[in-house]
Amino acid sequence: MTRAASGVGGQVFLTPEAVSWFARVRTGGWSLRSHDRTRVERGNGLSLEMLDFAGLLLILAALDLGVGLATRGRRAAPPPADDAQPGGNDPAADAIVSTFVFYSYYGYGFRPGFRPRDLLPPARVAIMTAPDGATDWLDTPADPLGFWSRYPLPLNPPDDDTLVVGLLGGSVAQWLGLQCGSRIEQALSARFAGRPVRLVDFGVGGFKQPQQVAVLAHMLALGQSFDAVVNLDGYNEAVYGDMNLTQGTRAETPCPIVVKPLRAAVSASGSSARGVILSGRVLDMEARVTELGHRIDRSRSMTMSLLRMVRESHLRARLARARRALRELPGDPDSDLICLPPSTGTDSDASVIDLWVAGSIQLHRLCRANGIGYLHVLQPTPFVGGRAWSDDERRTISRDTGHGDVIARIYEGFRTASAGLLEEGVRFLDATTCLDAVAETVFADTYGHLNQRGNDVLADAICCNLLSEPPLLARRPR
Amino acid sequence: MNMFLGSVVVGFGAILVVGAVLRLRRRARRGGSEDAKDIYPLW
Repeated sequence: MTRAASGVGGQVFLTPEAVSWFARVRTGGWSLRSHDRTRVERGNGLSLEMLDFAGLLLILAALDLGVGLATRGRRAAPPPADDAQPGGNDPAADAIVSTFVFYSYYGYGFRPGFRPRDLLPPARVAIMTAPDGATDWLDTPADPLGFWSRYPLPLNPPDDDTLVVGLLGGSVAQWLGLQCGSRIEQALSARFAGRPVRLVDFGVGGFKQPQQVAVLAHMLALGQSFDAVVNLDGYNEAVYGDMNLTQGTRAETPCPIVVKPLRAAVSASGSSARGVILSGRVLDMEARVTELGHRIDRSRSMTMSLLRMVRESHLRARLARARRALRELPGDPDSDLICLPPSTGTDSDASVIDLWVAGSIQLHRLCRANGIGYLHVLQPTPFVGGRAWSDDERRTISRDTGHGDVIARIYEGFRTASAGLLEEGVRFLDATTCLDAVAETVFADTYGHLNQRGNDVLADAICCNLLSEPPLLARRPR
Repeated sequence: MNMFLGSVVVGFGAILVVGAVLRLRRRARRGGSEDAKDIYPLW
């Protein structure tokens, strides 16, 4: 091994062959064949050896480009930043444009105009629409009340003929309404001699009881008419109710994932400054990871793509650390401006289950008082029921990150407590087993979100129940 | 000399192969397990 000083003051280790190779390149003393020391000069002064070196570089570059193009993603380029957010053409380019807006009535809602396309990267859309779902719902803008509704709200069809079905719940309800709205409308309409049916979607990611009660009360107050209401819930009540109690807030507080950054930012405690910094860091890194992902997929050069993958991996690790730090930020009940502490001596599982039951009973009573049919559906989850996961699901679903233990424990409580719902006269559908007979992939992730196939099966189960005896959906006087 | 050139080509080729495998795996996952566990609790 020969030690040779580099031209920039550092030292590099090269083999004797490498040193002589560099020396020859620098002096033009290297010919096409390494053992032939004859210097070949061309008319323009360039040596054949230099051309040879350039040729090697060209070949390597061509290889890099070839492999890069062969493995390049075919997905469409993301929309430009200006188009990605509503109000993106606003001259105040630095204004913060969030996905959610905090509402006084039920915690939060989507920013009006915000579309699913603004939120979901193409890879996520591919999973959600599998195996062959439509994508037209991606352009549904949030209405002024913050819902991804396919109809302007409040919807009051001028004719007595149209039936209106409201769908309440969290993200599973949100996607079911968007991805299967037409399917549900057609199935119900066929049973009512072609009478038009409108499914109005009030599902919002993270919503949980008593937000559904607040939404129904609010919409009724605004004059929305319903013939039937379906409440599809379970996961958020269990996981986020439990998480709220663990973090020292009441179970009914809206989803902690949404509330925590705001709580950290405006709380008067000593941790608030750190909360603001961490929230900003998380937002910044999320944006950079997304942008980097697009660059990796679109890069023509394999080397550049590889370097970006290394950088992305590093950035993801930092993002995970920042998220964990934000989650674990200590709360201070005495100075918290957003959340109330739980009552002392609260049994966490019991309070979560009681809230789920009480919320459903109040929806039932509100509907009955207004002449509306009410169906409560306990949504499926990968961790309850006897279904064997597909290969894709085994790769995607994790009992740890999906809160499988919490789900299994509290769902058991839900199922036991559903006897109380039936006693109260609530129409209850336990949909935790409705996917058991489906062998192909139905879950889009570890959180129980469904792909198109799963949504279709769930939609059919709900329609079947709505139309079974005694029918919940019938001609009602306006 | 030839050995050095050979190792440059082989080394670069190995980088390309590793990169291609990582990229194809990434495409095959299509935002699946890792992303879904990390980024989409609400969606």
